[in-house]
Amino acid sequence: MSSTEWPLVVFTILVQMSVGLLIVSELACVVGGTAAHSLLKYRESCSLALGLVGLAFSFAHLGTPAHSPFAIFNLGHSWLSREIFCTSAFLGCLVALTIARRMPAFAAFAPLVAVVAGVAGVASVFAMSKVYMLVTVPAWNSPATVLNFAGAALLLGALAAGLLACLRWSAMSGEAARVPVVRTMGVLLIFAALGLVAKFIEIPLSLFAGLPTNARGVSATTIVLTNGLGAYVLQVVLLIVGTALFVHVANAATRGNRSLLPVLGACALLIALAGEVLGRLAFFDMHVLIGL
Amino acid sequence: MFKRPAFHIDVATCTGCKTCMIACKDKNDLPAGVRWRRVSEYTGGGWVQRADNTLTQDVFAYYVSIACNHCEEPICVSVCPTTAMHKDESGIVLVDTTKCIGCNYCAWACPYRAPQFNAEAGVMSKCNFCIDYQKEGKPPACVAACPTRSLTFGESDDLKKQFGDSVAMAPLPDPAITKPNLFVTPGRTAKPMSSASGMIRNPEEV
Repeated sequence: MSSTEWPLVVFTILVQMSVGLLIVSELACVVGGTAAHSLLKYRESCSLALGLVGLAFSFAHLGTPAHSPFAIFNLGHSWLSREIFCTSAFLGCLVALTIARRMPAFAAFAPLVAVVAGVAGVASVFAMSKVYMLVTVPAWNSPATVLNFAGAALLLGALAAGLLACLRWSAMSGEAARVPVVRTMGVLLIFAALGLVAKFIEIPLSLFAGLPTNARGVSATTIVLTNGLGAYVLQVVLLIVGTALFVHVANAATRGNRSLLPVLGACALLIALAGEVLGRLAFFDMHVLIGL
Repeated sequence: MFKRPAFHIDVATCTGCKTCMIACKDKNDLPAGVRWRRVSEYTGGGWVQRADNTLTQDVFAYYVSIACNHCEEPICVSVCPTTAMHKDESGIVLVDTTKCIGCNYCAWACPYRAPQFNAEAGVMSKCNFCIDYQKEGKPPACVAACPTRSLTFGESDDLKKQFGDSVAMAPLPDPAITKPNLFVTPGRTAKPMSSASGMIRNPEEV
């Protein structure tokens, strides 16, 4: 398993989770109404925190972080420039959204800023996928990369939103605790399922894309299926177990059973996150160049 | 100074002595692990059964000395987020170290592995075609050092007239991807591009 790309593993996963959390929770609020707004009250703040931590990790990957302002100089050609621009725009929108929802004077702008943040988030995940879809790296240059990143955003975003809802609900008491959670949890379950389906399509697709052997006699698929087979299988198991646990959490929530929900929700997220980390390490291990 | 310099390698006569690698490291005072020029040892073959059931061998080995090919469509330049990686007026691909963030993205993309990360400086580094020597009318250090004269350089258009288009030969990548300013005279045992009959046997060096 790769150890040199840890900053990028953390950066990509946290930013994708941040984007997923915002989009999934905003849509849950649209469907779930005031109940969802109450359960997911701190969604933009948490999304911002995740994104900022992710961005901070990205600097650890750079040889000369002091030159990072130059990184958006090649927007016309470089997907890396576009990724940095879109991610920065997404985080800027989250700052604006956090302010708009905390300060009544700006509250009217919140819906518009939320939509712009969502669009910037989707653009960020798409640009992040395109960064790795290099024509010289067959294993990455496939639709599997888009599915991988979008799937991670949806799955982890839904599970993170679920944890937020569980934490908030468990902290409520009296009349407030009778808030209806079915619609909110239903939306989160749908997005978690979509994320898992994307991962199930992505995994065999990326293994197929990584089959070509280069002049060094190395194939990306051989690397992950020989050196890291155990971790690769564990990735799949953890993603399934994390999602299954979340289904259990959502089911318990809809029955009004609040005991242990935050703990179970946290476990579901951490298990799926561990699976995603293993998958992302394998993804970076699959960097096998054509040619020399 | 040529208007658009290019390298030519004669694989048929290259002995794989790696003097070019050493001359490059020496001239540019490169730190350990940074190799602007690398010589790949491409070998393969084995026992082959003939029609009369006797055995013969078809082993082969040849060497490919590669630095930056200062491509016409350099992927390192197009992916670089800062524009630190750029082509100058002579088409030489250079790194502006005052802009480079050391993200390694160019190294991830280049199929010739030309950009090399200089961990001491925190930025990328690569072959600059000994631009200083060329301005003095001298050949690049690697070319000057080659004992068999297998490695030469010249005006790209002249080399193209003399040797034809860039050759699609193993272990080199498809030249259509970046359009390298590299001309190759293949040897007798040269294998076609993407051939699975051979393998680079010194990956730790290149």
